[in-house]
Amino acid sequence: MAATGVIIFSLTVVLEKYIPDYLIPERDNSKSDHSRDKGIPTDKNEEDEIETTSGEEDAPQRNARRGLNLSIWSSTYLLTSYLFGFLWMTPIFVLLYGYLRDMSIVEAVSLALISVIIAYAFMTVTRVPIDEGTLTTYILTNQI
Amino acid sequence: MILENLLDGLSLAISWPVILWMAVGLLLGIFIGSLPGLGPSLGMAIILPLTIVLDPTSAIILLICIYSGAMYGGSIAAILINAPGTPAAAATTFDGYPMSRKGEAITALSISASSSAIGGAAAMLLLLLLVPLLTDIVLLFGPPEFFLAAFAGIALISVVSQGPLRKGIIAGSFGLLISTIGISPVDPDVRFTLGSLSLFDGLSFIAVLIGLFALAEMINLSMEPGFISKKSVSIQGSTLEGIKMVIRNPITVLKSSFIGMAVGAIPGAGASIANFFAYGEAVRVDPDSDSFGEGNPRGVIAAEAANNGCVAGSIIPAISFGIPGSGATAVLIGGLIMHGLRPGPEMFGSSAHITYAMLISLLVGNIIIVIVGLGFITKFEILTKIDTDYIIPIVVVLAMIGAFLLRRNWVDPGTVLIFGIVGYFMKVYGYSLIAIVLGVVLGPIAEANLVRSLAISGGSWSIFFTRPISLLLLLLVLALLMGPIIEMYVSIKNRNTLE
Repeated sequence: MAATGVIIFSLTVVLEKYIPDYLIPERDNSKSDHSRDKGIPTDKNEEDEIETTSGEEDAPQRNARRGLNLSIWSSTYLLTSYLFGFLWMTPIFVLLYGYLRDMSIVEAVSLALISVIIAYAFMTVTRVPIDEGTLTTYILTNQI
Repeated sequence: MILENLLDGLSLAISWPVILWMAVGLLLGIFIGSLPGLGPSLGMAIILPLTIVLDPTSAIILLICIYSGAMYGGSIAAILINAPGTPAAAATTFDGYPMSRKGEAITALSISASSSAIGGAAAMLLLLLLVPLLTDIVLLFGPPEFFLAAFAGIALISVVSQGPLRKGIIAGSFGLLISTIGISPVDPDVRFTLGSLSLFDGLSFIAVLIGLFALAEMINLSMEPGFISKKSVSIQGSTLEGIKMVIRNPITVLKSSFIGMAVGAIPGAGASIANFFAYGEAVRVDPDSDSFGEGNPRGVIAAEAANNGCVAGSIIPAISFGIPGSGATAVLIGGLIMHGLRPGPEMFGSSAHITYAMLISLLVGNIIIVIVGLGFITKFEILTKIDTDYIIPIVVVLAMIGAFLLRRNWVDPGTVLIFGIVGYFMKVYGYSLIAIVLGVVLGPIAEANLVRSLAISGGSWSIFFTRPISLLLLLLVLALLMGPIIEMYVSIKNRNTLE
């Protein structure tokens, strides 16, 4: 039933243009409204981008890219932590994040230190071996 | 029995280290709530996995105090920089910020602290008085009633989904689908595991909540400019004047607090609605209603008493029936389940002392809100200067490692990542996050109680309409399901009449 609900109602969203108005009295404007707030490029924002032909990158586009970057970095952080362990990858992730966001070295290193303290505290308090990743465990157990 | 549980709860609430976690929760909540973009659900979601090492009472009190603290904390940024820390403080900006601009920031902040504390305490006292009645009601519930209560919670998607109903139904159904992954709760059927052993236990709904509330929010926040406020805020005014103002308006405080509690008890309504509702009522009855929006202290009193009163109200459906009224109570339910407590009769039976300890902690916690709120009033400006770039990587780290600790497998951090990205896009494209949460949390409860009910009745569906409470709940479900259809019919009819 849940799957049927997802499929049927998703189809009404995807095929919204082709469904008569009287069947969907609540036509949706949420995407454009939210996107304007958050800087997601929509058709309207794209039009604005064409008009503003300054040399600098547009703020909405830059902001959208920041969100994409965080998603990519989080995925990479998870994948590398799976291979090498959270404890080692956490400061690297934080340092690289600081570098990407133009933080000063002092700020980035301080944040990395805080993150290591958090990760280490997790490890010692909960006794979960977050210093071990799949690859490091494999290497150690096979003595490569 | 009630008195015994109350005394047990009291001694538990003021015992060491429970009282420490209460203070930590409130301070964390105030901090998190004061930062625009971070709300109580995010704070509770990232702290939840850390509570594994705590005993159930300390863990639940820590979580609920974050919720209460964040409700007050939201007013700080609302008053100082016109940016509500949480949606629950949105109405606080109407008069809080104008007061700040008039050089009365300290007065407004002390009004906010005092009315939050008094409002929160009044609602909590009322809830404590209502617990015996709630206990009687909950003990009348059997599997058919719990199935229908969970089903009513799912049907609430029609009410809580802001935006198109279709999207609310998609989100809710998607949540239900997610909850079916793994071994069925009542028979050995294995569903949607793709042959992976790691998925036999299903997806952790706590990891789903962390993804939806923490990572999705961080992706959202990373798109905002770094500093929350670059302007300097003038911290002037009188603390004493603020306290006097609250004492001079006891009716506004109490009425707003109880409005907050009543609205908060409606699943899906939430503190933001309570906040506006109480503010609207204060404007309606005030002889000087024109001054609202220009720095009327009664506007701040009403809004702040209501959002803290809402905490008491929102706990009712969460602990009584396991129905999350908001993201924060969904995380609270996650905390209860993680610590082996089941919302429902158990919370008023064998675990009643924990329920009372939780309520008393919230009551006592209001003293901490006053102490912090009034004692550090001139230091709050710092909170508006914190760069979100510092917060984002730390929250991502906490979310990922915290999720890994849940069951010590890699499925949970993966779930956080996937639902963080999914949650972000859901927000962007107008899909209700609370609808997906209702589906995820209530799906297993509904399924397990449906099967139990049918087992009791020998497979007869009549069990759902031959018991008085079941029948009442069934009518409620029908009303919730038919409401949007009737609304659609009326809107079409009105449109045709106009044409």
